[in-house]
Amino acid sequence: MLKPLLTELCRSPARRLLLGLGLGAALLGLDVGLRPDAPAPAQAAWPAPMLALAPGALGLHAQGAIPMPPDTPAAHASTLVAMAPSDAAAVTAFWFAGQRESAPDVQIAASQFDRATQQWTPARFVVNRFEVGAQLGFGVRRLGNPVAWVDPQGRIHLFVVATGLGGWAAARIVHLRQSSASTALAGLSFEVLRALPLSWLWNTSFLVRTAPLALQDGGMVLPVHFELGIKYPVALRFDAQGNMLGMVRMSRRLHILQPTLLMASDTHWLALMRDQRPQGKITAAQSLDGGQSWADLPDLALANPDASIAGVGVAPGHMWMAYNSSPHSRQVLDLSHAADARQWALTRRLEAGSGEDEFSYPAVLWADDSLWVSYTDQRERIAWQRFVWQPNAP
Amino acid sequence: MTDYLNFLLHTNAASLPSPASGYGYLHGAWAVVMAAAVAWLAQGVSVRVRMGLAGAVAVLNMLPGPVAPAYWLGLAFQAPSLLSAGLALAYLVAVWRGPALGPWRGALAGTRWSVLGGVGVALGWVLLLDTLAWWPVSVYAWGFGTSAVAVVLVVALLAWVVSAGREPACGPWAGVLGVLALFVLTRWPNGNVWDALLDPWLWAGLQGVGAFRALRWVWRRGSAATHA
Repeated sequence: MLKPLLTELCRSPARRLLLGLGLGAALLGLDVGLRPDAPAPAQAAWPAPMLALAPGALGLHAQGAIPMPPDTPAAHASTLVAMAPSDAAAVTAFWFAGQRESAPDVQIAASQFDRATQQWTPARFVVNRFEVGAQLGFGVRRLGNPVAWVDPQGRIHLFVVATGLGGWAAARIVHLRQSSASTALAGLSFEVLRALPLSWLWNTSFLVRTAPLALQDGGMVLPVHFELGIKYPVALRFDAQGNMLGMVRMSRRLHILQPTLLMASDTHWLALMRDQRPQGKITAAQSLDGGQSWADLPDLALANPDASIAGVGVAPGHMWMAYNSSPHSRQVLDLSHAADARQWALTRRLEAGSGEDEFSYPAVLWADDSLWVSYTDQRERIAWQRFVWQPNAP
Repeated sequence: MTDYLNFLLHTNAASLPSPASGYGYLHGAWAVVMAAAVAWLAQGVSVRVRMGLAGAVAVLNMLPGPVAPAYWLGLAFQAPSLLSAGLALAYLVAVWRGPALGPWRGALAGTRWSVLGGVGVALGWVLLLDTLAWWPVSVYAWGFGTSAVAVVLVVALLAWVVSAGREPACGPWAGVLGVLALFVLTRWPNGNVWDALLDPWLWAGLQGVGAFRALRWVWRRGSAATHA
């Protein structure tokens, strides 16, 4: 009965047009109704806005090595996240660790800096690829770089590189969210939400490396990059609940990766990036409209030996960046300061090695009135340094 | 102009399926696609046996963990598109209904499928080159927004309207509209309309079919000219 009726209704172009317009309008209305409201234009949030009013300088407060899980020889690619003021921990560090990079036993490790004892807690593994695969419904060959973020509800979100077939060229970014009731490391656990949909080509090859930029609406912008021969940076916007809202390509250049975001103002953002070219420089791009569009800038004068960099804009006129300053190696790791992301002045030489020494993949964070820096030390451990703001210091 | 296009096409209201829904779709879609593949490979045996084998493969894909082929297919290729799953389901129905689907089989060789296939091939090239950053704007990012759904809706509706009198109401363009409606309701597979309409394997298949038909046409023309 239905088929003859449908045939009659759709017999002529005019009837199909009328029926189609009605169904089409209904479908579009349903699409709009089932979507979240479009958020307001993004505005970044300063970690420490009052710093702009307080002349002074950073002074080294403490340093050392973050504890490693037992019997784990290799570590790399740390990320730092600030915990809530009411939390027992000031900072949580995550990194990947195992026998070596890309080994099948690599897991995501974590440690927390306890406010009371002023010490890092013993490290433990919090994410492994078998649990991730079981929750995703499909396999994960290897785990890599983690990046952490705490949402306004106090839940820790982790974004972790997870590979399919083909190594890092087949990488995806998996989004996990804290599932334990407490952020205390002893019981910290995560549930997998999804592999972020970022690419039509079987959802490869996107990776994450550097910290997100916090927004005033409670959301954040996560810098990521595509890597399959060519390399280009992309910004992902998330709302306060951790739902992905959209993506924007940040540069037309095809040799740059691992962007780090620094805010110059609420809507003026800068992205500094690693350069894969020989004799590379730290490359730059900027957005003047809160991340809706980006434009390439001239390279910085600073050399980049195809190495990861990490930066943060803490207050108006105060940006810090950790990077390998030697043009051909990762022996030297510096911390520099700038007011405008163009002219950088050395604050402290974090590490100065020789020969095959490697100090690399830094992370920077402002928390508890301090600038925290962590970095890979010889691919065997994660080193850290804490700098406290000293008012009126020269 | 690029900034204007970026602003027009930029989307920041993506709607992704829930983790449970995404998990269910991945296993369900691979179950249907693999069942159709097995049914196609088993041509020549009885319908009952073909459907039995297809059913067994479908059940296997719904199991959790590494025992399911979907676990490994998902590792490599994520989830099939809604259109791929729909075509696979339609094929299984055709196998089950047997000779009654003769006219349906004939329709597959018709012009309307060639037009739809051509559109699919073109879209795939646009998306592949977009992945390689050829275009000034990100086409894939646009697929998270309502404007992309609207464009697909207009194109499919126009093609469906224009084809009145030459194809049945439930022809290929109506199928595209059905996929779009299912996407709006479920956001399968991942909230991006391009992934709902086309996956790389379907795109490769369309090109293969297109190349085969082109070669066959050239061969037939050559044969006709020889015998003239």
